[in-house]
Formats: sequence, C-alpha cells, structure tokens
Amino acid sequence: MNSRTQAFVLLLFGGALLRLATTDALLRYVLPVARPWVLLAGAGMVGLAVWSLIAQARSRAGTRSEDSEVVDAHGHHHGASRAGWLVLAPVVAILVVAPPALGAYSAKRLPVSSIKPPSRQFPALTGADPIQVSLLDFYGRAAFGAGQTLTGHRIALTGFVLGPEVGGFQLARLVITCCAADAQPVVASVQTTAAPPSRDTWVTVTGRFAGMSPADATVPVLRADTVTPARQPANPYD
Amino acid sequence: MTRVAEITEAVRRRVSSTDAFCAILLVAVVARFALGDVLTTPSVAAWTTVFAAICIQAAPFLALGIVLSTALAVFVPPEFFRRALPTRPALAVPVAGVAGGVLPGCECGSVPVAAALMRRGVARGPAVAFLLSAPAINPVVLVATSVAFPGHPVMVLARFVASLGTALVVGWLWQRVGRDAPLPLRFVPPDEAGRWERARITAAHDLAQAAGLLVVGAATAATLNVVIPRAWLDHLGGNAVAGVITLSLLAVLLAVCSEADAFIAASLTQFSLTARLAFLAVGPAVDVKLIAMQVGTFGRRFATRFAPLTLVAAAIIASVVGAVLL
Repeated sequence: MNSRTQAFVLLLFGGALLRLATTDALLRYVLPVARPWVLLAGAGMVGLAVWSLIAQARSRAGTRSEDSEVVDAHGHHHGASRAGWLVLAPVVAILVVAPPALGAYSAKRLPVSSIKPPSRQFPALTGADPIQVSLLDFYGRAAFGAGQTLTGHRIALTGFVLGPEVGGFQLARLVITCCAADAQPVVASVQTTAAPPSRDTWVTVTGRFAGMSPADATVPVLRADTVTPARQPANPYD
Repeated sequence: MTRVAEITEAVRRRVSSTDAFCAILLVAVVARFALGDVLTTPSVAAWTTVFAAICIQAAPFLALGIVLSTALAVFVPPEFFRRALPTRPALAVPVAGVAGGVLPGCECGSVPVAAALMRRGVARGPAVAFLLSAPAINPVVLVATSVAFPGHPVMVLARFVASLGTALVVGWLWQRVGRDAPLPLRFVPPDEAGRWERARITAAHDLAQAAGLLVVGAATAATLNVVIPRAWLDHLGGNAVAGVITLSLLAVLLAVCSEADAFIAASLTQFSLTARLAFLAVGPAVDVKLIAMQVGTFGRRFATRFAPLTLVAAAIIASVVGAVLL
C-alpha cells in the first residue's frame, strides 16, 4: 500500500467514526459515554489523513518519496505494510452494511439474568402512573429487593420480544458495559392473553409485578394490562 | 507459466494501490445490494454488529496509543529512558510495571507504546512488564472492577496483585528467555524530514498497521462471540481447576476490553471467584486481538512464545492469589 492509499484508508475510517459519533447509530455499538472519545479519534484520524494528503501533494512537486519502508533488526527490508488494507473492513461494516443493534438472536444465546445490580438499595418508585422502569431496574428490584419496591405500582417496561412462552411472551433488553461485544440479556416474563408479538418487535408493556417465574427463579413476571408497539429507543441497550 | 508471471507483473505495474482501494470499495457497495438477504441473517448481522462494536470501542484507545508511541519515538530523546529507568533490567522491570498503572487505556493502545519503548532502547523485560501492566491495573480498570463486584471489595486488590504479579514475573522471565527474539519491526521515515514530518509519517504508518491488526482480532473475537454457546460453560463451573482453565481460555477467545471484562466476570456466577480472577488476569495480558497485534508488531517468533508464557503465568499467579486472598 502506498502512502497515499494509506491516507485514504485513514480518511475513510476516521470519517466513518465521525459519521457514527454525530448520529444515534453509534449507540447500536457502544455506550453513550464513548461518544466524545469516538468523535476525537475520528477527527484525529481525518486530520492526520488530510495533513498527509496535502503534504504528499506538495512533495510530489519535488522528488522526495515517503513511501513506507520497514526494516527489521537484521537490516532486511520488507514491503510496505499490508495490514492497513484490513482497515477497510470496519469501514464497510459501519458505512455500507450498517448492522442493527443486537436483539433476540444474541439474547437467546447468552446466559439470562446473571447480572448483579451495582447497589442493593432501591429507592421508592415515583412518577406518573404507569411508572416507567428500565428492564434492568425491574429485574434488580425483583430479584435482589424481593420486589418490595415494585408492589402497589403499575409498571411500564420497554424491550424487544424474545419469543412466546406459555401464558404470554418473554420481554428482553441487552445490557452493555462497554460495547456490544459484552452484551448480557435481562429478561422478564410477560403474562398476557393477547397474542404474543413477533420476535424482535419493540413493545411497551404495562402491568403489575407478579413474583418470580416458576420456570426460572431469576426471571421476574409482569402480569400485563396492555401491550403496545413501541419505537426502538435511541439507545437500544440498558 | 512465465507468460502468466509476465502478465501479473504487468498488471501489478499498471495497477497502483489507490486503484485497488477504489475497486474494493466498489465491490463492497455492489455486494451490499447483491447480498442484502445474507447480511440481514441474524447470525451474520450479530457478527457484523459485534465486529464493528469492537473496532469502534477500541479506536479511541488505539489513537491514544499511537499519539503516545509517536511522541516516544520522535519527541522523547532515548537518553530519557536511560535516566528514568534503573540500568539493571531486573530492577527496571518493577519500575516499568508500576509505571504502566498510570496509563488509563485498554490493551490495544499499549502494544504500539511498548514497541516504541523497545525501539528506544528500553530492555525487553521492562518493556513487556509495561505492556502487561498498563491495561490491567490502571485506575479506570480497578474502579470498573469494584463496581462490578459490589459484594467483594477484595476482588480489586486481588486483581491488582495478580495482574502486577503477572507483569513482573513475565517481565523478568522474558528478560532471560526472550534474548533471541527480534526487535519489533522498525518503520523508517526519511532522515531528511523534519521532526513534525517524521511524526506525521510515523503516526500514519503505525495507525494503519495497528488498526489493521486490530481488525483481525476483532473478527476472531466476533466469530467466537457468535459461535460459542455460552450455555456450555454451565457444565464446567463446578470443578475448581477446570474452572480456572475454562475461564482463562474464555478470556483469550472473547477478547473483551479490559475496562469491560470485570462485568463479564461478575456475571459468570457459576464459577468460583478464583476462576473469575483468572479471567481478569489473563484477558488484558493475552487474547486473540492482542495476539494478532503482537504478531504484526513484534513478529511471529515473539508471539508464539510470549502468548503461551503469559497465559500460563497469569493463570497460575491468579490461582495462587485467589487461594490466599479470596
């Protein structure tokens, strides 16, 4: 790869990062706190690439070549780096394929609800009825707070449908701590007489906490009043 | 045959890498529409998401690593390291190991920095001690560990001791056994170029190289992430020794960033705390994306010996620390 192509590759990778960092598409892959750092890295790469292209255009007028040359400890010369070509793979993945956030396929393959909440202190729920609770919080209050702070409230949960089960369906959300590679599912069992929506559709369910599932003691149950279709949130992960 | 070789040679002379670059992009765009159904298959989509996520997550750390390694290579005079580090490598190893603890990065950034240190004349033992300790014991990682293990504050101490211990032991061993390992490949910018010009050329080259190698690791990790059914692990959690071995290998295969691995470890509740400590000690020291980066940066001969040595050392040290502290 010559140094001009190298600059083009970096320009594309930096550009892809910048494009992601300025839209909500970023949140399909990493946490919102990563945004300024991705922005900075993208800007730095674009800056480096543009600087290189300008410098190369200037020096092309002269005679100097800066095409890379690698020398090992024994003084053997190797061809210029070929690994740089691989940088096009994430560029294509981000800009051309643009894969969606992880959903039911991944949630099904990962161990369910082995997450521990950071704190066992659960403040009383407040807010307009029904109270919006994240699936992770619902699970934490149910599994580690014996559901005490949940009883007496109507709860609204938003997540994607994992699949049907006896008496309703399973609602899930993936929790990430750094990026989508470390996703872990939280699952709730929704009891409803309505027909279960198809896999991977986003729904908001309102209802009341009804103990832990008899089939799996780590899965809390929500006895549902309503099941309504919802838009996938800007940040699809909990 | 010669005819084919002639044609290949003629094509090679005509086609520059910039042409190839445009061709690859064109093919990718066409493939996007031709293969639309394949790309939306859940398994392929999940693979692509995890692959892109690892690349995006690592990019800022990689950029930070390149900034540091370029600064070390171009702006810091070699005499600095001779003055800052004890002359005897055996003493320089602990200094470099502890110094690694102040660099708040993950493992992708520390490979180019360690390579720059070696090129600047730092002995191989201290350089690899820095390589191993920087991603494992920095404050960000330790805070993440304390958040992930709320019921076990001693886990933070155990992780610090196990990871620093691994860095020092491997550093000392490598100083002895790594004698004939070649120095990392050296990129040579033109001598007549100015300082900033050298910095620019070095940074662009190292960044393209390191990012390309990261891509290999990200693809491997994404494949394993999508292919290994995590339910397998349930059967292996009961036995203490099997647990340590299983989670050490899992850390190598999953290649989770050192700032996130504590949360994964915390979720593997079917395993003993010692086995999970092994996961935390091994992950930042050796995993598939690091191996890819080390092969590309330090050469295959380095990686084929360094990776197994580090894996075994980290697993044993974590077991000992776990037996004492946990």
